[in-house]
Amino acid sequence: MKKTIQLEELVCPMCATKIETALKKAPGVNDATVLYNASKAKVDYDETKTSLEDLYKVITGLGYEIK
Amino acid sequence: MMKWNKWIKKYSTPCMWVACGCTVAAIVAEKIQPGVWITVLYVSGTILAGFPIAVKAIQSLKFKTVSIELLVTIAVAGAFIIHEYSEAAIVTCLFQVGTYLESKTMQKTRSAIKELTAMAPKTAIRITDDEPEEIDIDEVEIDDILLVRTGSQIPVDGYVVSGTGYADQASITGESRPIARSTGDFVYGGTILQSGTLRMRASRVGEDTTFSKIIALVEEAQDAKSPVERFIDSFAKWYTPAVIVLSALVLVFTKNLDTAITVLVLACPGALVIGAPIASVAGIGKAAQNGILLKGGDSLVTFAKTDVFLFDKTGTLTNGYPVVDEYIEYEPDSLRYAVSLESCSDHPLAKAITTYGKESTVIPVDDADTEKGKGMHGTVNGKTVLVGSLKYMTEQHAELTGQMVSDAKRLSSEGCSLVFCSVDQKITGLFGIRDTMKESAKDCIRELRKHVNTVRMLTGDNADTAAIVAEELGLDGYDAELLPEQKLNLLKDLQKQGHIVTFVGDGINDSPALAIADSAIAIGSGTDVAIECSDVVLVSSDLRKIVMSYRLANQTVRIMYENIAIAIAAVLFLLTGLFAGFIHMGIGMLVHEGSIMVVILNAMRLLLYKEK
Repeated sequence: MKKTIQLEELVCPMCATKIETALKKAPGVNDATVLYNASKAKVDYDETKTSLEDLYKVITGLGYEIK
Repeated sequence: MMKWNKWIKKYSTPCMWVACGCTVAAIVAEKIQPGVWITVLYVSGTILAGFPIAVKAIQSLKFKTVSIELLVTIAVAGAFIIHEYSEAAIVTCLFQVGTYLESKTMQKTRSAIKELTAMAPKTAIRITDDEPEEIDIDEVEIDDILLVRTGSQIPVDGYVVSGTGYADQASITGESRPIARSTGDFVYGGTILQSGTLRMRASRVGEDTTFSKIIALVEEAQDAKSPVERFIDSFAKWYTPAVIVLSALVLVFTKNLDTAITVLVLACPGALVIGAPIASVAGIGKAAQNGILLKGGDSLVTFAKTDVFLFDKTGTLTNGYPVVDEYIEYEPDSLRYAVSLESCSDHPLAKAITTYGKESTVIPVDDADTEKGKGMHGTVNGKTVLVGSLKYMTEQHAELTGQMVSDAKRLSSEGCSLVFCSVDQKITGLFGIRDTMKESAKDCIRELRKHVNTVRMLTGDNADTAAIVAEELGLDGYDAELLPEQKLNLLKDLQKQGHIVTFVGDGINDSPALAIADSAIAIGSGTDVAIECSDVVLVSSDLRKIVMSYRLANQTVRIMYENIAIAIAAVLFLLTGLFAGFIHMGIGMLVHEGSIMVVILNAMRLLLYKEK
């Protein structure tokens, strides 16, 4: 399942890389891209293994907000 | 950790201002009367501004990333060890203020695309059993009948089923002139109905609407990386940890903690990392506001380097359908007869004539019939009316006068197809019909030639027609009567000679050429194929936008390089200063944050870009 998550305004390009790596490592995630300028995360995940809430937790755990 | 995050989000800005207050007060007070309480002021400033930095540093570390915050945190800790409290306070405050200003200006730079997304429609009015009902945009399905009222947004792409009105399509095509829409016309979701009321049938919904596609494309384009940016990114990844090693080495060899922590602060790669992406964001955003979709990264850089432009003719330089260019009437009422007869046919030439004479009232026609390849005949008001080629006329014994012969000669030398009209075997009118040039074509070619050496046209059409178009537009040359693969070969030859070729087409029958060219511009209403294989998509058919996109691309690339140069210059300056001994942590941070602001402001110049 593919979902787009709107994040808070990302200021540094490093933030995008950080979130992207963390999402990719999260269980049940097939692929993830974080668009730095649009401040959006595009995640392709297996909904039997993880949920949107879990993915939100990964992001908030890094210290970023979800809009 | 979650709790800290919320706390930091909420209080870091006020804390920053208080910290700055403390630090400034301490600096002033130190000059008047030194004392212990000044150290207290500095320390509280450092803690207030530094705490959020340290938290961020630790968070990144958990995900095995060495962030800039970590460099600053170590530097500040080092400063505490050698009792440089003032330096510590200045560095943390400057860093926080810098980050704050960056995020504010960054928002501004990204605003071009934000404005676009904010325009996305949110609701629609669906009509079921004649009852209007407001629904969420996501609930709209294909073939739903929707009501659009004056002043509201057209919710999705679709066709008008009833009603008329004027649509302001600026958000899609960048053209601000309202366009009349009535039954059968296509309307774009996200545009505004300025007057009138429409009922429409949804044909594309959700992520498939032109508007959604444009947004997705622009968002991805802004994040696409050019080779230089990719290099900088991979460089930055290793750079930050390398700086820590470097400063440790400095400490070991010089035994000077002061110099070591200064290295940490100076070597932050801020401006370098941000300089190039911020320029493409601004450039692409600005283009999107004008109905130009530029793809980012490599394709932007290549497009800016173009030195040969190749244009497809039909549908690109010309409108792609025949239009009456000139009409000469020899007998009164001829146009009315011709239009009446031609309205019985849907041949492209017949359409050209009926469009031209749409003001005249149509008279009913008896026994209308088509002579294939020649023309039409029928009875109108009891008179035999013929509309067709010269050959058809002479066959039917309608003679040309000397004046008609010279008119016909002139029109065909201008590239027109000739269509005559005769009433009772007497020629009454002459239509010069051709695929007319787009209004914007001449301006586009003239302006482009100021920037590049060669602007040529490739066409499958015959040489005479091509010559006329090339002459009229002032092209550098043309190749006519080309088969699709010959077009490709010509393109490849130019590339072999070392030219960077941009191909401009309408994406209908020239996708292979669009795909092979170094850079491709597709004109039209954003068909899927065109969007896929081109580097620049013009949503409107205004060719002047090509010139604008070329200028914008060049300026964007120039600013990218300028920013990289500024960033490197700042680092070199700081390093020289460090070894020459006139740079300390505080000033180092100031120059560092300053250089970031300079590159952001430099990129913002693109937002001010105006077409001359």
